[in-house]
Amino acid sequence: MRSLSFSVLASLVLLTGLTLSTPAWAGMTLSGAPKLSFFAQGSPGFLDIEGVTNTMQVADDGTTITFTVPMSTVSTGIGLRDDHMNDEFVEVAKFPNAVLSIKKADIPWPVNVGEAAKGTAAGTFTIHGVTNTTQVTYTAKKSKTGYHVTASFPFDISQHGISVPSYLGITVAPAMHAEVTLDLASAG
Amino acid sequence: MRPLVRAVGLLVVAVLSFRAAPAAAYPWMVEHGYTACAQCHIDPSGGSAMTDYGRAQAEILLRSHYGKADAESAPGRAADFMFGIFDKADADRQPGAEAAKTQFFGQVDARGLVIPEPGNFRWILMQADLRAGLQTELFTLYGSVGAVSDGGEGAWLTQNPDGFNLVSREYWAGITPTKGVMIRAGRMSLPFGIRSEQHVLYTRSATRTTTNDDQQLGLSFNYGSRKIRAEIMGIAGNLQVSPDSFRERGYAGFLAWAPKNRIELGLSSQIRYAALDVDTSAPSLRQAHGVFGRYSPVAHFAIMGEADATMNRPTSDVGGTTAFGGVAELEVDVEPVQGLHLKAGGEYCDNDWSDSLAAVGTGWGAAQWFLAPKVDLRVDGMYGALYCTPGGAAQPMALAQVHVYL
Repeated sequence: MRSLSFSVLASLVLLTGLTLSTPAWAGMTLSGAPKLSFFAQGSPGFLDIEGVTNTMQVADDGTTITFTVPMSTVSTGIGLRDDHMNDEFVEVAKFPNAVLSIKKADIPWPVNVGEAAKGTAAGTFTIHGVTNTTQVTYTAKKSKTGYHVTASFPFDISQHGISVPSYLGITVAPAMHAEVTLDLASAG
Repeated sequence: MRPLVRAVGLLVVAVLSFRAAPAAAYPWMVEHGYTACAQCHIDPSGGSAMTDYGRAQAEILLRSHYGKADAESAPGRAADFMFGIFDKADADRQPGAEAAKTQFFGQVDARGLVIPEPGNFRWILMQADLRAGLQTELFTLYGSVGAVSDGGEGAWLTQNPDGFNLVSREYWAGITPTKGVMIRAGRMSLPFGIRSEQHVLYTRSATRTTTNDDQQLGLSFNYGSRKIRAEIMGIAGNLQVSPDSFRERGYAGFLAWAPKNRIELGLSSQIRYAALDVDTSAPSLRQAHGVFGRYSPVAHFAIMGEADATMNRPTSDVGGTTAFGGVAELEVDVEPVQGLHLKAGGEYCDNDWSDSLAAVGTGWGAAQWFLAPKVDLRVDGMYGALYCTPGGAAQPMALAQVHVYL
């Protein structure tokens, strides 16, 4: 009786563990249109600059989830400013993508629909061919098909080998941040 | 037909003489993600001459490019003062160039109107200003001098009631002790509500805060951060009005919050006292307190509005009666193709809710076309009352103007 109870209990624990871990280890894919914004500030005058893209690729190898954005798709709302950004600073011809990678195990993916996990996780951010660590502040809310994710993270372009942008008396601060909103579908 | 043409012509004259605003502050730039003013204007609250960056944006963002690619819209010499005869080096115009420690700003603005009335063809010079500024990291000096053929009495340097007058609308010195702060002394536009190039709205004329000639001498503290703009000014009076008893003393200020770069909400307040009011020649205590906002839900579209409560007491006596009233405006701006702005709006004004006179209102539509480097045309059609004069009859009005700057 005792051994039977132990077996049943062990099976339940194992089954529960498998069930709970399934969402985190299943392959995730992008669902719908994501939005990624890069925010920068120019001075004097506190010029707010927002570069937006809705183009993103998501790759999930089971342990790391990787978000890749073609920088040429980022629009600041002024064509000439985009040209300056792409040609003079980010150099998209040589470094076309910005990439954020996060270990999936660092996020406690919620199981039940409507539940949300909030926190920070270490990630790596690559732009201009240079990779640095960053802290990603996230909210992942379980939906019927996957997760609705909002996240933000800071980065400093001077740490990525990008010259500090300036134009006709306005200088952009090297400390910037990114905000992303997207839906992930659980493929598994 | 001829009386009608003459009437329209006279109305245009009247409108231009009293409703045109020579500053070039464009609050609808919120539709391009600009809520703050200090990047593009020497006056951190907007209007005034443009900075180098502002001149570049006027070329890049404002004017029609007629299908040119973005890379071909780089402003180059076309944006510079006097088309670059006092030119900066080409290297200083390239992205990545360091800002000069000392910058000179010059701007010549001319704004006028031709009235093609049969048999009485004539023109009005609304603005012919030379503006100049010098700015270092710590100090800013700025001033303007010019001429007008009509109106602008509050900025007159000469006293010719029948013709041209020299005017000086602004002259001030500022110090920037720390990033985002400027303390100024001199004659400045009053910090109140939405500063606009718009024909003078009720919200500007009723609160006496136009950029045409309502500037005052005073001391101002201006603050700007990523999400906050604020300015408070102590008013010492308009030295270009005399005798001293006509000069108003008090304060004006605003506080604006921009949670995103396409929305801004603000509060304004002012209290001004004069021993003799310029309109009534009686002691007056004038107050206005209100709200304003600008919002661009999508690119190339903006909605802006302002509402102010007014309290005017035509005497300094304790027992004097205060007239409570209100003034408001709401407008939209859409840019269907680059360089062409279509506008529509409505205004309301009643300076005394307790009297029997009906409030006045105006509806208007306008088209403004930035057709070439440093040139824009604007045509307004309005129906309503010319001033905030409750009980006044509504009538059609027209306004057309050309603006050129160098």
